[in-house]
Order: sequence, then C-alpha cells, then structure tokens
Amino acid sequence: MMKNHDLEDVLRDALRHEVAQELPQIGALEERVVEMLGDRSPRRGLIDHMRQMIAPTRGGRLGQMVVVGATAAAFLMVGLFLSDRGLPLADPSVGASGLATRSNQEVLFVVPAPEAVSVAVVGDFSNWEAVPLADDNSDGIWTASIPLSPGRYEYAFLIDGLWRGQDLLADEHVENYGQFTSVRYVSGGDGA
Amino acid sequence: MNAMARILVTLLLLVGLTATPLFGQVDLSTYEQLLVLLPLTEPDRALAALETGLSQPGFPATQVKSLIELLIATPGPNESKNEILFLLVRTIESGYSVTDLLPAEQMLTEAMAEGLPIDGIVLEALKGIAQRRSAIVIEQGIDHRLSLLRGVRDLLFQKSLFSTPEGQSSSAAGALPESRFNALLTNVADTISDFLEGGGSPFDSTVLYAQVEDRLTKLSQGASPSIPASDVDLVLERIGPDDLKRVALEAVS
Amino acid sequence: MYLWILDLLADVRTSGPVGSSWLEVTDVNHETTSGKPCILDTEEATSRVYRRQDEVTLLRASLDGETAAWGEIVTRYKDAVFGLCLGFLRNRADAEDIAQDAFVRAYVNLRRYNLEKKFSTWLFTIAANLCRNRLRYRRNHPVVEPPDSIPGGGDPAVTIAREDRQAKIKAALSRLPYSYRAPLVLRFYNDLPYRDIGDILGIPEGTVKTRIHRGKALLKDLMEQGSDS
Repeated sequence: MMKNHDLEDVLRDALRHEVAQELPQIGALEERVVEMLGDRSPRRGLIDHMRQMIAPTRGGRLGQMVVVGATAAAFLMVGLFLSDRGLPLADPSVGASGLATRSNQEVLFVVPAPEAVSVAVVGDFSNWEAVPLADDNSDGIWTASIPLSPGRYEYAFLIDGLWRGQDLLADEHVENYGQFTSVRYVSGGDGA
Repeated sequence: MNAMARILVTLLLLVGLTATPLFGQVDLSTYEQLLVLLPLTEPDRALAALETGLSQPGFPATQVKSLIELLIATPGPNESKNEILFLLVRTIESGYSVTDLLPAEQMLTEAMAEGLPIDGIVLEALKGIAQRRSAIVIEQGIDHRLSLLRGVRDLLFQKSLFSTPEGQSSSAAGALPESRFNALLTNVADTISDFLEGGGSPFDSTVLYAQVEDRLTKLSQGASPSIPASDVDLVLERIGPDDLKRVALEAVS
Repeated sequence: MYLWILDLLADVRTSGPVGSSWLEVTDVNHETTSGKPCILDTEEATSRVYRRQDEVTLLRASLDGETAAWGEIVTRYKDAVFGLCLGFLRNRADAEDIAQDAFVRAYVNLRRYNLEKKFSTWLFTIAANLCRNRLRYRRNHPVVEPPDSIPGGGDPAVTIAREDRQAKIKAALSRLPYSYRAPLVLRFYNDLPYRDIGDILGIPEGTVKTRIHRGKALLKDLMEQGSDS
C-alpha cells in the first residue's frame, strides 16, 4: 500500500520522465509554429484614431498610464452618459440572421475624430447603409448607440466618407481583399 | 407537380398578368404590378430605384423584369426574396451597372431555390457596395461564397448533419431544426470565405479550423447565444481540419 | 477594453513603424559574450535578444507581428504545454499536434488575451480545450492503436521497483476518466495551484480539490488491480 504523498511523488516523477522521453522526439516545435504563422500579425494597422486624440508622450510609464487611464475614463463617461439617449437608429436589418428581436443589447459605437465633419457607421445591422454618429458637445468624440439582437456583426466607420475598418473596441477584425472590417459579438445579457 | 413545372406555370401566369405589350416594352407600371407580388419591406423605395434605373441609358429593363418574375416564381423564404431584391435596389442607388450584377442576382435566386441560406452572402455583397468594390469583384465574391456554401452543406450532410423543416422533429442525433442548421452552415462557410479572401491558404487548415472553432464558440456564449453550445460541440466533433481543407480547396479550384 | 490598452501603450512608445520600438531599446544595450560591439547576423541577434526579454515585452512584440518573439514564448512554454497535452491525451502524436495547435491558436488570438490574467493560465486553457476537443473527436473516429501508446510500459528485462511503479502509474493514469486525469496532470506535472486549475478547466476550486482527492484514490485502486497479474 502506498502512502498518499508517495503516490504524489511517483506520479510527479512518472509524468516528468514521460515528457523527458517524448519531448526530444517531436523536434523543433518553435520552428514549426513560427513557420505556420508566416508573417501573420495578430493585430494589424496603425491606431490613427487614438493618435489624433493623444499626443505621443515619451514620459515615463506613469505618464503613459495617466493618458491611458484618462482615455478609458473618457470612454466610460461617454458610455454612461449616452447609454439611455435615443440616437438615430438604422432600420433593423431584415436579413441579418433571421433572428427575432429578443433581448436586444444597446451597443455603443465610439469614434474619436476631432477633425472630422461627418462620421457614420455601416454594418450588417444597417444593411451597410450609413448610420450617422453624433458629436453633440463638439469634444471630438462621435457616438451612436444601436440596439442589436444576439449575433455577430461586421461593421466599419466612414469618417468624412473614408472607410475606417479597424475599430479599437471591436472583438476582432476581418480582412477581405486588403480591406479591413470590424466585428462585434453581441450576446444577450452581457454584451461585448 | 414538381418544382420546375410550378415555376414555369407561375411565370406564364405572370406574363399574362403584367400584360406586356407585344413588343416587350417595360415601363414603371410593369414593375409596379410585379412588386406587389413580392414580400418587400420597402416597396416604395424599390419602385423609386427602378424608376431611376429606367431613366438610365443601357438599363436592362427586360432582364430586370425577368429577374423579378423569377424571384416571384421561385419558392423561398420571404426574407431571402426581400434581400435579393434589396441588393438590386442598392445596386441601382449606388450607381453600379445592373448588367454587371444581374448574373449574381440570378445565382442567388437559384441558390435560394435549393434551400440555401443566402442572407449572409447578400450582406457581403452590400458590404462590397459600401466599400466601392468593382462590380466584377462583388460578382465573383457572390459566386465563390455560394460555391463554398454548397461545399459546406455537402460536408455537413456527409457527416450526418442535416436540417429538418421547422415544425417537424427527428430523433436522429444530427438532425437540427432548419434555422439552427442554417446558422451553422452560414457561419462555417462565412469563416472559410473570410479566411480565403484574407489571403489564407487551404493548406493552413489548422489555422482555418481554429478560426471556425473560434467563431462558433463566440456565437455560443452569453445569456442568449445565437447558436447553442451543443450544436457547436456536435459540429466540431464531426468535422476536422482536413475536412475544411478539402472544402476550401474545392472552392478555390 | 483589455488588449487595446496594450496596443495603445505600444504605439505611444513607438516613434517609428510598428514593431521597431523594441529594436531601438535593445540597440542601446546590445552586448555580446566577448564584450565587443558587433555586427550580428539578424536571426542570431534576434534570438539572443529575445532570450533576455521579459514575458510582457515578448508578448508586445508578438502582437506587433514579430513571430520570432512568439518563437521564444514557445520555447519557454514548450515543456509545460506539451507535458499537459501528453498527460491529457496519453499519446505523443496527438500531444504534438495539439501542442503545436495551441501555440498557433494562442498567437492568432493574442488580441483577446486579457492582461489582467496570467498568460500561462490563458495558454493552458487553450491547450486544455483543444485536448478536450480532440478527445471528443477521437471518440467518434476511433483509431486502431495499442491501448497504451506510451513506450516504457514495462520492459520485463529491467524491473527496478521504481520503474515498475512508474510504469504502473502511467498505465493507471491512462485508464482514469478525463475529468480526474486532467486536474491530476495540472497539479502534479504543471504544479499549478488549485485556483489556476479551476480557471483552466472551467470548474470551481472546490471541485478541483475533490477530483484530485478522488483521482488519487482511483489511481491507487487501478495500480493495485494491475499488480494482481
């Protein structure tokens, strides 16, 4: 009969021994992984929106954290302020996924664009027709709140008519023929 | 009466209904009478677009009429019909040449007749219009995506996953209600299409599989998921990276 | 609101094209074993440099598309991830596949990694999920293979007590149900605290402890059964 901690030791040794035997046989994992990835980047493109808003600082980490914290706070405040305003909505897309409009989630779209004259969002939820965002207090931050039923939505912004497919608040991006589009997943209850 | 015969008879009736003059001149009233027979969410907008079209030189009025008649006669969900016509409307509104996109409209209508869920593909085409892509690219996009949709559907069938019409039920493990089957089909096919259009290679099947898994998993999360987790498990149990590679390769060749 | 903050930091610090920031930093402190300034072969230089980087720096570089930085991450976590997979799946071929897959997936999804959590936990969670999927898939696509594909199941000519016990425990481990085996591996191979194990397997900490306790008892039983032959 083995004592409890004897068993643990034997198990530990056995597992380590196993790996020590098998690992050398699988060759250079690192190289294979890197090769598979090619020059794929998990995140692409420049963050030009944010650059517009935030002057590049070479200050210490504290300075950077303050800047980041301020931005996050700004978003949070904007979000809280706007969460119950009725901003222009798109015609609910008939075909997006054939889903009934159950448990709609208010999804906030935010674009910092102080120099822009017009900002709109186009996406699956609007049949890719422009839904205007508003900057009512002229602080350079454009927003719209759109009720969406659970699902996956592709979208992009049009900033003065120019396609901007990389929203920082997106859950992911897709690329088709060299152009980017943002994606958000909406789930009933907790929303992205 | 089989489906083909039904379509033909309906077409003949329509021709009679629209009372097209002997020389086949199409005018706004022709379209007006036809549009009534389609389940449109924005009929006025559709009519306005067609009026714009008629005023443009080179507008293929007769072919558009045939397309609308085909759409009426073809069996399919109301949503799909509405979407296919809406794509035509947006084509005209955005200044695209309708002639360039008519073949794609026809392909979509035929796919709808096969029972394929085309809504995601129509959305992609609308996105293409919003991005100001060339008509050829949009048309090819629709073609490829339909091809992939068929390929994925065949794959699901091979793996004994199939859809049962709403209202009926089956005790077979792989039998899914139509809406759930279509959700899986649409999302798997869409992920593969995005992957290929983003420059991915079918031989990168591990990455492709990871993306499919990722998409399905995300859609199955949250309080009211679009796709039940059990459906995701079912699909991922039966389909592996090699299956996706095969489907993707067939689509690009 | 997680990783974009990291992105932001990266960009705020960068003056040149994306990805060049770490190069600037390291150019200032490059050293070689001989102490002389050098013109290094790029690949050699990058891997040597990566070896000294801390994990956050490597992750940031990986985010910028520096797959070589990710290669260093793979090197550091190879034993842990492969060991996890081997423990869960009990055969080398599958473990190799899944380990590779896990690193690829983790890279592809790096944007979604939440900095507030431990990177290792996140990476192991991906590996554990992939293992579970593979086991599900295997159930439906049985492959004809010997019941215990781990060699060293017992060379009868060399029966030293310790080796014999190791062989027995490995065989017993393979026979344990997955829900007991997984926490045992994470605890006794990866040496993880109960809380991390719970995070990785998606079960509460209390359940982890129960499974480990019960798992050990089951192992003992299985080993004793085995010695009756």
